[in-house]
Amino acid sequence: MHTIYIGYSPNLSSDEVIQYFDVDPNHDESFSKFEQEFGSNYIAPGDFEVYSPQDYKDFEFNESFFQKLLPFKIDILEIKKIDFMVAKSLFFVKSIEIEILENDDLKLYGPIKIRRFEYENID
Amino acid sequence: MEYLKRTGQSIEDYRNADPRTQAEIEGRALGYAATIALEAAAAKGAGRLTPERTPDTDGPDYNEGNGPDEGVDQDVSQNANSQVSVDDIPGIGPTPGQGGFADWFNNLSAEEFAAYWGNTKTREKIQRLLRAPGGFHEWAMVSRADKFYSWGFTANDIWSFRTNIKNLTWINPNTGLPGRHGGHGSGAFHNELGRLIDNSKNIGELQSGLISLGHRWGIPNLPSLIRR
Repeated sequence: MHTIYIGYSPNLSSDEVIQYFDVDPNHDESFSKFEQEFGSNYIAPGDFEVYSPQDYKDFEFNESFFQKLLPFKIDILEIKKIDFMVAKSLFFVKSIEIEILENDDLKLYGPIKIRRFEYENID
Repeated sequence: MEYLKRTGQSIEDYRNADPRTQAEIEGRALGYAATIALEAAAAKGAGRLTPERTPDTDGPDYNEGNGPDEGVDQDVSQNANSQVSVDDIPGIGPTPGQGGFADWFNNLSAEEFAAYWGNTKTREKIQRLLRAPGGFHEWAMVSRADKFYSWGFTANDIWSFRTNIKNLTWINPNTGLPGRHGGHGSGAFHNELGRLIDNSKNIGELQSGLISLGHRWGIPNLPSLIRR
Protein backbone atom coordinates (compact mmCIF):
# COMPACT_ATOMS: atom_id res chain seq x y z
CA MET A 1 0.00 0.00 0.00
CA HIS A 2 1.06 3.55 -0.66
CA THR A 3 -0.18 6.89 0.58
CA ILE A 4 -0.51 9.46 -2.15
CA TYR A 5 -2.05 12.87 -2.65
CA ILE A 6 -3.30 14.32 -5.90
CA GLY A 7 -3.44 18.02 -6.44
CA TYR A 8 -3.06 21.02 -8.64
CA SER A 9 -1.56 24.47 -8.83
CA PRO A 10 -3.63 27.42 -9.99
CA ASN A 11 -0.58 29.54 -10.71
CA LEU A 12 2.56 27.40 -11.15
CA SER A 13 3.61 25.76 -14.39
CA SER A 14 4.64 22.11 -14.46
CA ASP A 15 8.30 23.19 -14.55
CA GLU A 16 7.77 25.27 -11.44
CA VAL A 17 5.99 22.50 -9.56
CA ILE A 18 8.73 20.03 -10.50
CA GLN A 19 11.21 22.53 -9.06
CA TYR A 20 8.99 22.77 -5.97
CA PHE A 21 9.68 19.09 -5.27
CA ASP A 22 13.41 19.36 -5.98
CA VAL A 23 16.00 20.34 -3.40
CA ASP A 24 15.98 24.07 -2.72
CA PRO A 25 19.49 25.50 -3.24
CA ASN A 26 18.60 28.41 -0.95
CA HIS A 27 17.67 26.21 2.00
CA ASP A 28 20.38 25.49 4.57
CA GLU A 29 19.46 21.80 4.75
CA SER A 30 18.60 21.41 1.05
CA PHE A 31 14.96 20.71 1.87
CA SER A 32 12.58 21.10 -1.04
CA LYS A 33 10.03 23.91 -1.08
CA PHE A 34 7.37 21.24 -0.70
CA GLU A 35 8.98 19.84 2.43
CA GLN A 36 9.36 23.34 3.86
CA GLU A 37 5.80 24.42 3.11
CA PHE A 38 3.84 21.22 3.69
CA GLY A 39 5.98 19.62 6.39
CA SER A 40 6.32 16.44 4.38
CA ASN A 41 8.90 13.72 4.60
CA TYR A 42 11.72 13.55 2.05
CA ILE A 43 10.33 13.38 -1.48
CA ALA A 44 12.60 11.40 -3.78
CA PRO A 45 12.68 11.69 -7.58
CA GLY A 46 10.10 9.19 -8.80
CA ASP A 47 7.79 9.90 -5.86
CA PHE A 48 5.84 12.51 -7.78
CA GLU A 49 4.73 13.35 -11.29
CA VAL A 50 3.55 16.71 -12.61
CA TYR A 51 1.50 17.29 -15.74
CA SER A 52 0.29 20.39 -17.50
CA PRO A 53 -2.17 20.95 -20.34
CA GLN A 54 0.64 22.95 -21.96
CA ASP A 55 2.69 19.74 -22.15
CA TYR A 56 -0.13 17.93 -23.97
CA LYS A 57 -1.49 20.42 -26.44
CA ASP A 58 -2.43 17.65 -28.87
CA PHE A 59 -4.63 15.96 -26.29
CA GLU A 60 -7.85 16.90 -24.58
CA PHE A 61 -6.63 17.46 -21.06
CA ASN A 62 -9.55 16.44 -18.84
CA GLU A 63 -10.27 14.13 -15.91
CA SER A 64 -9.97 10.94 -17.90
CA PHE A 65 -6.69 12.01 -19.53
CA PHE A 66 -5.25 12.89 -16.11
CA GLN A 67 -6.38 9.46 -14.93
CA LYS A 68 -4.54 7.91 -17.89
CA LEU A 69 -1.33 9.77 -17.05
CA LEU A 70 -1.29 8.61 -13.43
CA PRO A 71 0.73 5.43 -12.76
CA PHE A 72 -1.89 3.88 -10.50
CA LYS A 73 -5.58 3.10 -10.49
CA ILE A 74 -7.75 5.73 -8.86
CA ASP A 75 -11.48 6.35 -8.74
CA ILE A 76 -12.53 9.08 -11.16
CA LEU A 77 -14.55 10.60 -8.32
CA GLU A 78 -11.30 11.45 -6.55
CA ILE A 79 -10.06 13.22 -9.68
CA LYS A 80 -13.30 15.14 -10.07
CA LYS A 81 -12.47 16.98 -6.84
CA ILE A 82 -9.89 18.94 -8.83
CA ASP A 83 -11.13 22.08 -10.56
CA PHE A 84 -9.68 21.61 -14.04
CA MET A 85 -10.85 25.09 -15.02
CA VAL A 86 -8.37 26.76 -12.68
CA ALA A 87 -5.59 24.17 -12.68
CA LYS A 88 -2.46 25.33 -14.45
CA SER A 89 -0.68 22.09 -13.58
CA LEU A 90 -1.67 18.85 -11.86
CA PHE A 91 0.31 16.31 -9.95
CA PHE A 92 0.45 13.42 -7.56
CA VAL A 93 2.92 12.99 -4.75
CA LYS A 94 3.66 9.97 -2.64
CA SER A 95 4.12 11.03 0.93
CA ILE A 96 3.33 9.71 4.36
CA GLU A 97 3.55 13.00 6.24
CA ILE A 98 1.69 16.12 5.20
CA GLU A 99 0.93 18.87 7.72
CA ILE A 100 -1.23 21.11 5.54
CA LEU A 101 -3.22 20.53 2.37
CA GLU A 102 -3.12 23.95 0.79
CA ASN A 103 -1.04 27.06 0.35
CA ASP A 104 -1.06 29.86 -2.23
CA ASP A 105 0.67 27.66 -4.81
CA LEU A 106 -0.62 24.12 -4.34
CA LYS A 107 -3.83 22.40 -3.31
CA LEU A 108 -3.75 18.73 -2.29
CA TYR A 109 -6.46 16.09 -1.96
CA GLY A 110 -5.88 13.08 0.21
CA PRO A 111 -4.49 11.04 1.75
CA ILE A 112 -5.49 8.34 -0.71
CA LYS A 113 -4.38 4.75 -0.27
CA ILE A 114 -3.42 2.88 -3.42
CA ARG A 115 -2.52 -0.78 -3.64
CA ARG A 116 0.43 -0.45 -5.97
CA PHE A 117 1.99 1.53 -8.76
CA GLU A 118 1.54 -0.02 -12.18
CA TYR A 119 5.29 -0.41 -12.67
CA GLU A 120 5.81 -2.39 -9.49
CA ASN A 121 6.60 -6.08 -9.65
CA ILE A 122 7.36 -5.94 -13.36
CA ASP A 123 10.37 -7.96 -14.46
CA MET B 1 38.28 26.32 -18.39
CA GLU B 2 38.74 23.61 -20.99
CA TYR B 3 34.98 23.01 -21.01
CA LEU B 4 34.21 26.73 -21.29
CA LYS B 5 36.64 27.07 -24.22
CA ARG B 6 35.15 24.03 -25.91
CA THR B 7 31.61 25.40 -25.61
CA GLY B 8 32.52 28.92 -26.68
CA GLN B 9 31.73 30.44 -23.27
CA SER B 10 33.89 32.84 -21.30
CA ILE B 11 34.67 32.99 -17.62
CA GLU B 12 32.55 36.17 -17.57
CA ASP B 13 29.55 34.16 -18.81
CA TYR B 14 30.07 31.80 -15.90
CA ARG B 15 30.51 34.59 -13.33
CA ASN B 16 27.43 36.47 -14.52
CA ALA B 17 25.21 33.38 -14.46
CA ASP B 18 22.78 32.66 -11.62
CA PRO B 19 23.80 29.96 -9.11
CA ARG B 20 21.72 27.23 -10.79
CA THR B 21 23.23 27.97 -14.21
CA GLN B 22 26.68 28.06 -12.69
CA ALA B 23 26.03 24.67 -11.15
CA GLU B 24 24.80 23.41 -14.51
CA ILE B 25 28.00 24.59 -16.19
CA GLU B 26 30.04 22.98 -13.41
CA GLY B 27 28.12 19.74 -13.82
CA ARG B 28 28.67 19.69 -17.57
CA ALA B 29 32.32 20.53 -17.09
CA LEU B 30 32.62 17.65 -14.64
CA GLY B 31 30.87 15.38 -17.09
CA TYR B 32 33.21 16.50 -19.84
CA ALA B 33 36.25 15.91 -17.65
CA ALA B 34 34.91 12.54 -16.56
CA THR B 35 34.29 11.54 -20.16
CA ILE B 36 37.87 12.39 -21.08
CA ALA B 37 39.14 10.51 -18.04
CA LEU B 38 36.97 7.48 -18.70
CA GLU B 39 37.94 7.33 -22.34
CA ALA B 40 41.57 7.45 -21.29
CA ALA B 41 40.94 4.75 -18.72
CA ALA B 42 39.06 2.64 -21.25
CA ALA B 43 41.96 2.98 -23.68
CA LYS B 44 44.19 1.50 -21.01
CA GLY B 45 41.71 -1.31 -20.36
CA ALA B 46 40.52 0.00 -17.04
CA GLY B 47 36.87 -0.62 -16.37
CA ARG B 48 36.11 1.55 -13.42
CA LEU B 49 36.51 5.07 -12.16
CA THR B 50 38.35 4.61 -8.88
CA PRO B 51 39.47 1.67 -6.78
CA GLU B 52 36.68 -0.18 -5.05
CA ARG B 53 36.30 0.40 -1.39
CA THR B 54 35.94 -2.36 1.11
CA PRO B 55 32.87 -4.19 -0.12
CA ASP B 56 29.68 -3.13 1.59
CA THR B 57 27.25 -4.57 -0.86
CA ASP B 58 25.32 -6.43 1.81
CA GLY B 59 24.20 -3.19 3.40
CA PRO B 60 20.66 -2.09 4.06
CA ASP B 61 18.19 -3.18 1.42
CA TYR B 62 15.53 -0.60 0.82
CA ASN B 63 13.62 0.78 -2.08
CA GLU B 64 13.49 4.51 -1.53
CA GLY B 65 11.51 6.36 -4.09
CA ASN B 66 9.34 3.55 -5.31
CA GLY B 67 8.93 1.09 -2.53
CA PRO B 68 5.99 0.56 -0.24
CA ASP B 69 5.38 3.03 2.54
CA GLU B 70 6.51 0.48 5.06
CA GLY B 71 9.99 0.92 3.65
CA VAL B 72 9.95 4.66 4.06
CA ASP B 73 8.78 5.43 7.52
CA GLN B 74 10.64 2.75 9.37
CA ASP B 75 14.30 2.85 10.17
CA VAL B 76 15.59 0.26 7.75
CA SER B 77 18.91 -0.02 9.47
CA GLN B 78 20.25 -3.50 9.89
CA ASN B 79 23.43 -2.13 11.33
CA ALA B 80 23.99 -2.07 15.05
CA ASN B 81 26.13 1.06 14.71
CA SER B 82 23.43 3.10 13.03
CA GLN B 83 22.27 5.03 16.09
CA VAL B 84 23.53 8.34 14.75
CA SER B 85 21.61 11.57 14.32
CA VAL B 86 21.97 14.23 11.67
CA ASP B 87 23.77 16.37 14.25
CA ASP B 88 26.27 13.59 14.81
CA ILE B 89 27.75 13.78 11.32
CA PRO B 90 31.16 15.27 11.97
CA GLY B 91 32.74 17.34 9.25
CA ILE B 92 29.92 17.08 6.75
CA GLY B 93 29.85 20.11 4.49
CA PRO B 94 26.60 21.97 3.88
CA THR B 95 26.65 22.00 0.10
CA PRO B 96 28.77 20.52 -2.66
CA GLY B 97 31.78 22.62 -3.41
CA GLN B 98 31.12 25.04 -0.60
CA GLY B 99 31.71 23.15 2.58
CA GLY B 100 33.74 20.13 1.75
CA PHE B 101 30.91 17.65 1.43
CA ALA B 102 32.72 15.90 -1.40
CA ASP B 103 35.86 15.54 0.71
CA TRP B 104 33.78 14.26 3.61
CA PHE B 105 31.96 11.74 1.43
CA ASN B 106 35.09 10.57 -0.36
CA ASN B 107 37.04 9.98 2.83
CA LEU B 108 34.44 7.96 4.70
CA SER B 109 35.50 4.50 5.70
CA ALA B 110 33.23 1.64 4.67
CA GLU B 111 32.13 1.26 8.29
CA GLU B 112 31.33 4.96 8.65
CA PHE B 113 29.42 4.99 5.40
CA ALA B 114 27.40 1.93 6.44
CA ALA B 115 26.52 3.56 9.76
CA TYR B 116 25.34 6.82 8.20
CA TRP B 117 23.56 5.09 5.32
CA GLY B 118 21.83 2.68 7.67
CA ASN B 119 20.10 5.50 9.51
CA THR B 120 17.12 7.06 7.74
CA LYS B 121 17.85 10.64 8.82
CA THR B 122 21.57 10.69 8.09
CA ARG B 123 21.00 8.85 4.80
CA GLU B 124 18.48 11.49 3.76
CA LYS B 125 20.94 14.24 4.62
CA ILE B 126 23.57 12.60 2.43
CA GLN B 127 21.00 12.18 -0.34
CA ARG B 128 19.97 15.83 -0.17
CA LEU B 129 23.57 16.98 -0.40
CA LEU B 130 24.25 14.68 -3.32
CA ARG B 131 21.17 16.09 -5.09
CA ALA B 132 22.09 19.73 -4.40
CA PRO B 133 21.79 22.24 -5.98
CA GLY B 134 18.86 20.51 -7.68
CA GLY B 135 17.76 20.61 -11.27
CA PHE B 136 19.63 17.47 -12.27
CA HIS B 137 18.87 13.83 -12.85
CA GLU B 138 21.59 11.64 -11.36
CA TRP B 139 22.09 8.54 -13.50
CA ALA B 140 24.08 7.19 -10.57
CA MET B 141 20.90 7.40 -8.55
CA VAL B 142 21.36 9.09 -5.22
CA SER B 143 19.06 6.52 -3.63
CA ARG B 144 21.62 3.90 -4.68
CA ALA B 145 24.66 5.89 -3.55
CA ASP B 146 25.61 2.98 -1.30
CA LYS B 147 26.15 0.78 -4.35
CA PHE B 148 28.15 3.45 -6.16
CA TYR B 149 30.16 4.06 -3.01
CA SER B 150 30.99 0.34 -2.89
CA TRP B 151 32.14 0.59 -6.51
CA GLY B 152 34.57 3.31 -5.52
CA PHE B 153 32.64 6.27 -6.82
CA THR B 154 33.48 9.64 -5.34
CA ALA B 155 30.87 12.35 -4.90
CA ASN B 156 32.28 14.03 -8.00
CA ASP B 157 31.91 10.78 -9.95
CA ILE B 158 28.21 10.71 -9.01
CA TRP B 159 27.81 14.35 -10.04
CA SER B 160 29.55 13.69 -13.35
CA PHE B 161 26.69 11.34 -14.31
CA ARG B 162 24.06 14.10 -14.29
CA THR B 163 21.68 15.49 -16.88
CA ASN B 164 19.73 18.73 -16.59
CA ILE B 165 16.19 17.53 -15.92
CA LYS B 166 14.81 19.93 -18.51
CA ASN B 167 16.74 17.99 -21.12
CA LEU B 168 15.49 14.58 -20.03
CA THR B 169 12.38 13.71 -22.02
CA TRP B 170 11.06 10.38 -23.22
CA ILE B 171 8.22 8.37 -24.65
CA ASN B 172 6.84 6.20 -21.87
CA PRO B 173 7.07 2.66 -23.28
CA ASN B 174 4.21 1.57 -21.03
CA THR B 175 1.69 4.12 -22.36
CA GLY B 176 3.17 5.48 -25.58
CA LEU B 177 2.67 9.01 -24.23
CA PRO B 178 5.39 11.66 -24.05
CA GLY B 179 6.83 12.37 -20.64
CA ARG B 180 9.83 13.74 -18.90
CA HIS B 181 11.76 13.82 -15.67
CA GLY B 182 9.28 14.81 -12.99
CA GLY B 183 6.42 14.32 -15.44
CA HIS B 184 4.55 11.39 -16.96
CA GLY B 185 6.47 8.13 -16.52
CA SER B 186 8.93 9.55 -14.01
CA GLY B 187 8.00 6.99 -11.36
CA ALA B 188 8.30 4.07 -13.77
CA PHE B 189 11.56 5.41 -15.19
CA HIS B 190 13.19 5.78 -11.77
CA ASN B 191 11.90 2.36 -10.77
CA GLU B 192 13.40 0.78 -13.89
CA LEU B 193 16.69 2.62 -13.47
CA GLY B 194 16.84 1.62 -9.82
CA ARG B 195 16.32 -2.05 -10.66
CA LEU B 196 18.96 -1.82 -13.38
CA ILE B 197 21.46 -0.45 -10.88
CA ASP B 198 20.46 -3.06 -8.30
CA ASN B 199 20.99 -5.87 -10.81
CA SER B 200 24.27 -4.58 -12.27
CA LYS B 201 27.36 -6.32 -10.99
CA ASN B 202 29.75 -3.62 -12.23
CA ILE B 203 29.89 -0.31 -14.06
CA GLY B 204 30.26 -2.05 -17.42
CA GLU B 205 26.99 -3.91 -16.95
CA LEU B 206 25.32 -0.71 -15.85
CA GLN B 207 26.56 1.16 -18.91
CA SER B 208 25.21 -1.53 -21.22
CA GLY B 209 21.91 -1.55 -19.38
CA LEU B 210 21.64 2.22 -19.58
CA ILE B 211 21.98 2.12 -23.35
CA SER B 212 19.13 -0.40 -23.53
CA LEU B 213 17.06 1.69 -21.14
CA GLY B 214 17.71 4.77 -23.26
CA HIS B 215 16.54 2.98 -26.39
CA ARG B 216 13.47 1.59 -24.64
CA TRP B 217 12.43 5.04 -23.44
CA GLY B 218 13.43 6.88 -26.60
CA ILE B 219 15.90 9.05 -24.75
CA PRO B 220 18.15 10.70 -27.33
CA ASN B 221 20.45 12.63 -25.02
CA LEU B 222 22.17 10.06 -22.85
CA PRO B 223 25.41 11.46 -21.43
CA SER B 224 28.37 10.68 -23.64
CA LEU B 225 29.90 8.95 -20.64
CA ILE B 226 27.55 6.02 -21.09
CA ARG B 227 27.18 6.19 -24.85
CA ARG B 228 30.74 5.10 -25.48
